[in-house]
Amino acid sequence: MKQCYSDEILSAYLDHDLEPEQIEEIGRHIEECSGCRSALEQITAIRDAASSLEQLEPCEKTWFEIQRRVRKGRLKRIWVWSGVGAAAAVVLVVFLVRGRPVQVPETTPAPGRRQVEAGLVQEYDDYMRGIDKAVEECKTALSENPHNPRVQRAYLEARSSQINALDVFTSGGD
Amino acid sequence: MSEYQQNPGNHRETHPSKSVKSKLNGITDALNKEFDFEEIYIENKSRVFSTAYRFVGNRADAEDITQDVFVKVFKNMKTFRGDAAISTWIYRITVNACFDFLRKRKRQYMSSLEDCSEKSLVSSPLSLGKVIEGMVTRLPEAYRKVFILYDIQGLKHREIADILDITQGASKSLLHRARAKLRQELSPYVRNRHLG
Ligand SMILES: [Zn+2]
Repeated sequence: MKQCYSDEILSAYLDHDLEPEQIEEIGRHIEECSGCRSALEQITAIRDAASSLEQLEPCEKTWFEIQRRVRKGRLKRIWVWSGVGAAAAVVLVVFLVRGRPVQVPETTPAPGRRQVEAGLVQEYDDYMRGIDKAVEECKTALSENPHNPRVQRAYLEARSSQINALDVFTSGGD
Repeated sequence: MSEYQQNPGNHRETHPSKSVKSKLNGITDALNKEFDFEEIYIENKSRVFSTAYRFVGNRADAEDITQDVFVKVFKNMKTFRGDAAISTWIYRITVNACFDFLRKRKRQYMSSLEDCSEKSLVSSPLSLGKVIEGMVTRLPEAYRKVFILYDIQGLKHREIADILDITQGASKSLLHRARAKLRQELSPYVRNRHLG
């Protein structure tokens, strides 16, 4: 009888990871050799037991913790944004009413001096209408599901988008 | 004369609207990002958690790793190019996170099996699956990665090669060695029990 096979070879045999002639040869050997047959049975059992291990679910608090960590960075930014946005709002209102760039001391960013291309105001209005619509939808959803964290988040996001958009517009995209 | 014309140096862009537009689009993207992220989480959480659990052998650490993985996913969503499946990308982050975690801890992880001597294993009512689960955490790093991804998580060698940045041949070879090692470790157990 031919020499016995290593566990690695038997494992490859199990997965059909060998040349057809080799598979045939090992198959013949296993029929005659109880040692290799038993080894193959054990490797098969290990593979089958491993593949039947169930998929596990993380607990719910993991998701909340992930959100907390992710939002920690975002909230910091929103906080900064809202300060910038408030200043920018003043600039924007004056800017739109007077129809030309004005300089508001201290808080005015350089963009107040910019030229506004035709169509930009329209573009901005269209965009803001989209966000306003999102805010309204979020408010409706929030009144129906006041405790749903996903809805709460959407509402906050929509609100912060208003501020961000304002700032982007007044800063000319810098 | 407008102020802009008086101060042309302040005007750094020829097409401000283009820049504004891209920024506004950026905000819309940010708005959508969190929703995409939640979907990615729902879709991948059990893959990540199960993989982490099998690497470290306990729930608490697996929960921590799962958090680290998804925070990283969130931060890097922009850089994901989409030229591979997102699950492949997340698996790669998971495997790296597991080993970073283990290296940081610098201690050998033993699952609940640590308390079980081989003697007690023989008479233990644990299923072979549970025994394997514990033994896996003691496998050498390279074997462990492939065994978990192939035999437990059911990935293909092609996917594992992508995730671990190795060849498919290497993935196969590591798998066969991992199984051999496990059989060797499990021999006291399997000798004394019916398989399965
Ligand atoms: Zn033999």
